[in-house]
Amino acid sequence: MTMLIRLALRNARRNVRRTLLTMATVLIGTSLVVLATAWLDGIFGGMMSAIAETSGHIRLVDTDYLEREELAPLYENVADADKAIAAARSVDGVVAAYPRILTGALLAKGEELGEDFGLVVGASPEWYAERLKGPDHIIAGAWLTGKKDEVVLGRKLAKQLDVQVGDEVLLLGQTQYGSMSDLAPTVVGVVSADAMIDNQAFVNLADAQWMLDMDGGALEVLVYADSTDGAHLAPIAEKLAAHPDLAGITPQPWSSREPIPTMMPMVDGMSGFIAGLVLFITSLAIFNTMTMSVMERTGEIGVMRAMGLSRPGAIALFAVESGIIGLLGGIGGAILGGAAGMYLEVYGVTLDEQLLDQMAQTFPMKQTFYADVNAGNLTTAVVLGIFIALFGALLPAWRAGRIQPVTAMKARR
Amino acid sequence: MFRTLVLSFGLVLGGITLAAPSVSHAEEALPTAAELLKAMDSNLQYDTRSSTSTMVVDDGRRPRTYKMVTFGRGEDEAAIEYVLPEREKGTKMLKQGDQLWLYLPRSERVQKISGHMMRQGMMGSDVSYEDLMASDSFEDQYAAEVTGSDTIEGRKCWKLEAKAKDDTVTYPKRVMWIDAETLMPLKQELFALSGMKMKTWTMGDIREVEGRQVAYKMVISDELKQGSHTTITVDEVTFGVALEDEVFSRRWLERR
Repeated sequence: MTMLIRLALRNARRNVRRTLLTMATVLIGTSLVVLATAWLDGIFGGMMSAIAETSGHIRLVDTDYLEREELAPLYENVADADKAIAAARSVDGVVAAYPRILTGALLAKGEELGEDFGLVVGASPEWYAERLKGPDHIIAGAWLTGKKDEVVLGRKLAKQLDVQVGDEVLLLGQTQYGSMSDLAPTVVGVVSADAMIDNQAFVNLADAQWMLDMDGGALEVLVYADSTDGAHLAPIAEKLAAHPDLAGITPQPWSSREPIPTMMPMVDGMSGFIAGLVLFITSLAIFNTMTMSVMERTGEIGVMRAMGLSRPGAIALFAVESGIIGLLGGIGGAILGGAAGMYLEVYGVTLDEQLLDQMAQTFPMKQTFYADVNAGNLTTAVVLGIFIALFGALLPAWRAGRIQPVTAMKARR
Repeated sequence: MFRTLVLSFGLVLGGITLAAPSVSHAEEALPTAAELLKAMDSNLQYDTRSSTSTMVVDDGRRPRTYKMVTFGRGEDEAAIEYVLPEREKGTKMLKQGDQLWLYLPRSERVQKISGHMMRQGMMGSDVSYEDLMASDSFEDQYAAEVTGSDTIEGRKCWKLEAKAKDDTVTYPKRVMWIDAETLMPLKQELFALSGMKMKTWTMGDIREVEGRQVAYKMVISDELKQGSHTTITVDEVTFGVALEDEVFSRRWLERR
């Protein structure tokens, strides 16, 4: 093996320019993979954390509500939220539980009613402060104080309605029984954090309960554990499901809620596609280099074969040479891609506000996208570099192994 | 179409004065569609009316009952005040021509209903605000043909298929079963442009009031709301009542 490495290094040094060019190709390819995966990890990882944090690590909802959630059957609710919260908190591993109401409403500042629609969120001050972190993202006015008839509007909603702090707005929704129900709160603040929050209206839980005619109830109880890891949450969800005070209520871990199950394969697919594309293009460069090398050294290989180098030995010679190029290129790629990723992790890329406004409101997408460089994507770069090199060298090495000593030596003459 | 419905909220399902004996007594020959549309339109004409009615919205889970007082003047003016249940008490609606206003007592606000809200069910019922607003005559809106006869609730009916003359009409197609004797539309099926059935509307308990035929019971089913139907029953109806102008003004809306 030592001899093979020595020979491979010698061969690599024979045409330094070509070797460096090949290594640079691997380096660029792997650095792009590092950057792309760090970018995707940053964007989607951040989004996942936000979803888990704002929609509860596990949420408790009426089983019938869950079955028809797209129709928002408000009457299928957690009628006694306090009882459900107490039950949830009695389960080992649960650190907090909060009631929450989400309901659609028409919003109006002036006389006209019917064009502006928004999602109204009603929750406890603790949830707003500890989980949504609404008070930290106020851009005008202040957060809810707990008094009756207050509302904090998301930035985009406030802009759409053309309202300022101090204005009165109408929220027209419906009770859980389907009757029309209105609130006329005063705007006490405007909040901006992500595409979801920017499109929502936040009211005190009591006001939302009044609006839905759901005294003491909630549409869901959001349960928090000390980790969002699926394996950690699964046994907690099982205990919640078996709790006698939670009959008719289904615990749903955050990762099983849409859009997560749909989004995760999509993200994995994107990562795979990027890696595959880079692998293919870079391996073409390696293939080219190794093919040239085999052709140039046909006679030499013939002599070595005549002197006793086995066919696997000839294959290994080229495989080791390309492996060394791949290793060095992969390390370089990890350093370069990691450095670029670190920059984006610190500074991010900020989208234009208008562009953000056009994006889906169902994702907690932030205006600034940050990358997330981690050991996983750096290791992947190095492994990928070696793999690319070996993959690209496969055919040329095979061809080298098939060289017959006599034929090669004739050709040499 | 729902001029009749508006009237029912105006709580006058005006009866037909039945000046068409050749039609009402026709046993064999089919009446013309124009005769039927004209008869229905003339049934809906009145000067003033007032009524009280009960609306039960049954979504298949928990029926909700509303009591309303309504006033109407001509085709373009109607006012509704909810008197029960307590939570909705004082909620008012005012139709002024092509505008629909809403008064919300808790917020003490007057709002003009427009846009998407027009398609929503009034108080969560199967009757949309858009349905309430329709006031043009059947004759002006639809081209129809009589396709035969049928029996509804034991009564002989003419079956009429009507297609909207233009695309501004809420329901581009409707099929009506018109009582051969009273010329009241006992049943209507309302269709979207795609051909999908949107609503079914039936009328029953027909009584004669001051020379008019009045349906004291109407059942409306929104086909998009599975298992839901709304029943409106007229408790009392009076025609030709003296109504002050204020009743059809925004001042009335805000008066507590």
